[in-house]
Amino acid sequence: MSTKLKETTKVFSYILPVWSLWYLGVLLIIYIISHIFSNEAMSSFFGFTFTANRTYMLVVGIIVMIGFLEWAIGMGVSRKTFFKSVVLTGIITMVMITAIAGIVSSILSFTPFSGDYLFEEDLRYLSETVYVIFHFLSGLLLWAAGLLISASFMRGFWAGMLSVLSGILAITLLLFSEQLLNYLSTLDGMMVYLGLLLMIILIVIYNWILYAVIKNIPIKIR
Amino acid sequence: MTLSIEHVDLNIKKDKILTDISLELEQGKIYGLLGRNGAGKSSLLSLIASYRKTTNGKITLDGKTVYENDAVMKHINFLYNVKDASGETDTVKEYIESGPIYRDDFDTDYGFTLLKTFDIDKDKKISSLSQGQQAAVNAALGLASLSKVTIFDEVTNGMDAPTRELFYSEVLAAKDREERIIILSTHIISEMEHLFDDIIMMHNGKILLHESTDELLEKGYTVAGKAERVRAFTDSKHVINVKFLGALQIDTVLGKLSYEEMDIAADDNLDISPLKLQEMFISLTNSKKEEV
Repeated sequence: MSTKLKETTKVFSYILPVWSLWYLGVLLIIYIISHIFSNEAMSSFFGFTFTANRTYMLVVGIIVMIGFLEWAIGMGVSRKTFFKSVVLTGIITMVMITAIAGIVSSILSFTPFSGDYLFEEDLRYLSETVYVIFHFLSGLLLWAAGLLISASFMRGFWAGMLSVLSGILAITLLLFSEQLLNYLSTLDGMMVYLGLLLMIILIVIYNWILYAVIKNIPIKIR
Repeated sequence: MTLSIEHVDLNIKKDKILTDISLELEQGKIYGLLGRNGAGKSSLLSLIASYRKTTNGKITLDGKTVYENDAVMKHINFLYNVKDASGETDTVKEYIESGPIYRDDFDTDYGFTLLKTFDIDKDKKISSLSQGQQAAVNAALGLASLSKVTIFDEVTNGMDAPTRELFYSEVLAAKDREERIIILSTHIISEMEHLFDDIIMMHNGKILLHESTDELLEKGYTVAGKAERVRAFTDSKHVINVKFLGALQIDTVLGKLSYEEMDIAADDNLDISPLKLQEMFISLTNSKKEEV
C-alpha cells in the first residue's frame, strides 16, 4: 500500500467513524422509542440497523465524493489513489458499523430492548452468518452507488441523472438478491454462495463504473 | 528543476479554452501570470495542478508527467480562495497541523510564524474568519508547504492593503525560494510587478508573451510633460497609451530611447520614466484595439 493511499484511508477512517457513531446513536434512540411504543414483535437492534445501514452507506457515499474529491486532489492525491482509498473506507465503515451494532445488540439482549427475533422474518431461510455477509455486501454496493451518483453529477447533470437510475437499479437488484438468496438457501447450501458471488460481481461492476467516471474527472474551482 | 508545458490545449465541451500553450518554468523564480478575466489563467493553473486533464500536449516536472502521478502531484500546491467556506469545521491550527500529512516538505513552525505575521488567531475556525483572513491562511499554507511548485491564484483577493503588503514581502522572503517555482496569478498588477522575475501574459487562451520583467520593462517608457511637447516628441513613435492630467499629457511608448532623444526630452522638460507593466498589459490585451 502506498503512503498516500495509507494516509488518505487513515484520514477517512478518522472522519467516518465519528459520523457513524452519531448515526448509530440516533438509530439506537429511534429503536428504543419504537420498542416502547410498538405493540408488534420487533427485531433485535442488530437486525434493525440492517436496512438503515444501506441507506446510510448510500448517503455517506454521496457526501464523501462531493466533500473530499476536490480536497484530495488539492492535497496532491491522484484520482486513482482516492478511488482505492474510498473503496477501502467503505469496507472499514461497513465492518465498523456491523461490529458496533452487534456489540450494542448483545448488550441490549440483557435489557427489555433485546427484540423478539434477530432479523426480519421474510429472511428466515438464510442462516445468520449468510445474512450478515449479505448485509455487509449490500452496504458496499450502496456505498459504490452513492459515490457513483455524486461523481456523475460532478460530470454533468445528465450523467448524474443516469447514475440515479443506476442507484435505483442497485436497490432493485439488492431486493431481488435478497429474495434470490432466500430462495437459493431452500435449495442447497452451496447455491447460497453462488448468490453471494453474484453480489460480489455486482459490487465489482459498480466500482468499475465508478472508477471509469472519476478517472479523469475535472475539478471545477469553486 | 523545470516545469515544462508542451503544446497544451484544453477544450471544454465545444469551447477552446487554451490553445497551444508552451512554457518552461525554472526554480528560483517568481512568475507573474497576467491576463484579463476569461483569458485562461485559472484553466492553465488547473492543468498544472492536475485538476483537469489536458486535451492535447503534456505537462512535466523534471521530465515526469504531472497528471495522476502521486509522486509528482505532492510537489505541486495550488492555492485559491474558496468562495464558500461556511462548511469548514476545522480550526486554522488544524489546517496547519494537517499540512505535513500529504506534503513531506511542509514546515509547520514556518506556517505558525506566517499566521502570526498575518495576525490570524490559530484557534478560530476557518468558517468564522473573514474572506481576507481566509486568504491569508491560504497564503500561509502555500508558503509553508515549501512545495517545489507553489501556485497562488488570485490569492490576495479579499485581503486588505496592509495584509497584501505583508504577503508580498513574505513571498519575496519565502523559505527555500531558490528551490521553488512560485506562480502568482493576479489582477493587481501595479502592486505586484516588483515581485515578478518573469511575466507570462495570457490573452484569449494563448500565451501573449513570456519574458523577464526587466527585459519587458526595458521595451518601453513613459513620457510626461506639456501636451503639445509630448505629442511632438512621440509623433513618430509607437504610442500604446495616452493619459491626461490637466495640462499634462502622459504617453506610454514602446521602443528604446537613443541618447539624442533623451537630450531632446530634457531640453523640452519632458519626464522620462520606466514603462508601467499595467499600462503595457492593458494595451496588449485591449480587444477593441485588436479589432481596429
